[in-house]
Amino acid sequence: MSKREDYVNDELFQPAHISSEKSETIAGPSLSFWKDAWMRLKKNKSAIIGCIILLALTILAIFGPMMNDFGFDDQKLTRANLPAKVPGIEKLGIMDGTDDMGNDMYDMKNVEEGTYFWFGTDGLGRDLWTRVWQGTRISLYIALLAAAIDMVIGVAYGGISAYYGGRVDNVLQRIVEVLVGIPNLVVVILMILVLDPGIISITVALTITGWIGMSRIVRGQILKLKGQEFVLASRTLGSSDNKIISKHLIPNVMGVIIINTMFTIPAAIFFEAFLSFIGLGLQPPLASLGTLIEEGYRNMQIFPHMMIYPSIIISLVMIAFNVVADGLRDALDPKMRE
Amino acid sequence: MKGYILKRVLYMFITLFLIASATFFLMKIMPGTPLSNAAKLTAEQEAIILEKYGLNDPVPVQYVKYMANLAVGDLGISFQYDGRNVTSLIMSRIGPSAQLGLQSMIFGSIFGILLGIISAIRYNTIWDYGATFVAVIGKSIPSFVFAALLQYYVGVKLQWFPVAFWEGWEYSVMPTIALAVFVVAVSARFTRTEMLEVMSQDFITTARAKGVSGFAVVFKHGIRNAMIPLITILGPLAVGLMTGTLVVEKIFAVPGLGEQFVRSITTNDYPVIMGTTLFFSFFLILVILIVDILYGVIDPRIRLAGGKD
Repeated sequence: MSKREDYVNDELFQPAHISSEKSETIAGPSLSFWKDAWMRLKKNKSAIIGCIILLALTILAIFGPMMNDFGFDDQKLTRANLPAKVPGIEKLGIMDGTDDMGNDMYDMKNVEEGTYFWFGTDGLGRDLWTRVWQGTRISLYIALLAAAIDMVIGVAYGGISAYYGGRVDNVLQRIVEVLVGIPNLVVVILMILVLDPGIISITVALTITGWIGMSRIVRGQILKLKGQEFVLASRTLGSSDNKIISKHLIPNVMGVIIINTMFTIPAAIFFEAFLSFIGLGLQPPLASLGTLIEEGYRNMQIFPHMMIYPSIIISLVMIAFNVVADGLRDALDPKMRE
Repeated sequence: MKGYILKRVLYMFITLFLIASATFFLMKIMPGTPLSNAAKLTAEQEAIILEKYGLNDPVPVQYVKYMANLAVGDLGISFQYDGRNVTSLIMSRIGPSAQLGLQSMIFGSIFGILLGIISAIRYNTIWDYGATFVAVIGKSIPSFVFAALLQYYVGVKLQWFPVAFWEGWEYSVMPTIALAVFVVAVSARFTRTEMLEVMSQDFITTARAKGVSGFAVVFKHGIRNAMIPLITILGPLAVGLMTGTLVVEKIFAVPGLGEQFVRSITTNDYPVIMGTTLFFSFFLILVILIVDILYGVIDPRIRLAGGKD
């Protein structure tokens, strides 16, 4: 201790100069809500990884089917049930075109040298790589659709109901109270029975059921906001209803809307895959991840590759969306953080 | 509270009535005929069969008849199983489904709650990250993918449990696990959130300050309070389990209601589809109603605030 006192003496210190100007300056740049949220999201490693996975999957879904010369419905029975074979990786002993017993299936079926099916082929000799990415397109389409339904119908319904209140609210909410009791699955299955199974009937079914949760959340939020002073001030200054809704109310509930949309998306993707799996979704030769898994499931014991690749892709899609949704929730609404 | 319950019960019946009506009319405009060999029948034979099942009446008459029968719990007669009553068909199929549902609900929520508590009291440690990872995976991987992989790797390769069918308790192990994954994921996440919330409350600080041991704080003060909102996820869990049974029963060839439902869709067995749809809807609406009422009964704060309405 004594040593320190020797060289730390009063002469080393000077009184700080207090300037009244400087104390008023703002040190950091002012952060808007969205910048703040973006900074929080950037720190969340898993959410960023989720975003990258989603981006990669989207790119592959768009360009994957064009990356080789096989069409999604090119059948050729002489090359059926081939396991995966990828140039480069084949030297590592995996994805080298051999089955469980180690037989080179490409040799046995006399497939031309230099032909590679990156994910193998299915029971009709169709290239699984092309079909898997074709199926991923369906899943991503469902994701976009579910998001659009939530954002358009759900937000509009909830917003109108809460903002206009009174009799409008009463009628709209009685309708929702009945609809909310009907299990989604029931509506979806009934719709699909009436229309032919396929992408259109899934779209219609999702449109009917997809927006109810969002409309209730938006209504609750807008009810809370519309009594606040800034809305009253805006109205006193003569803003129209449309302006108040679009400029003041919607931006304030945007965070909640985004969070909720992000949680609807994986649920919708699961639903499409689930329906396709039980045979109510897309019909052959079209492929969705659900139908591919169903086909693969039937041949799983002999040709596991048919089941494994679509399963991995759908799991990746679901995990990525869930993780990004969690990250966005933490970033946009710190109060809701788990 | 009484008024609230009455109102909810009224809505339940309106909803059920609408579902029944919608189901009936949708079935009427559905493509396909219940006669599997319609081409082989003569016009007379066809008329006899249609007469037998009451399909010759005008649609409004069929509707009134259907509704009247429904009111006394008669769901009509199956097309697929010659002359079998749909109500008794559902009743004979409900056992395995109910067993699977209950087992996965019980085991799944016990495991999930434990996982949630661990990640809350070991907040931001490797335990927490591990539990969160399990929960995200469990929530993300579709039940049919998980069930199929389980069947292949545990059933076929390791041969620990029978691969399919329904002949004893060991046959229920794999379907239960496949269904429970979802329950574990949802309840773990929910418990974690609630637990973190409760543990930051003033009364926990008070308990710690007056010298209650860490164990007692967590179990006596924390968990008891965190468990209350857990009732609210029973509704979504029931919906998820019901969806799950459709595919899981199909994969493991369990003779339950879900497997029956999927099959009746592919065979155009209208009365069974209608009956099962109504049964599912009734069950789910009832669960949600009970959950809402229970929540008010158990947590006095909600009742004092005038209910959730």
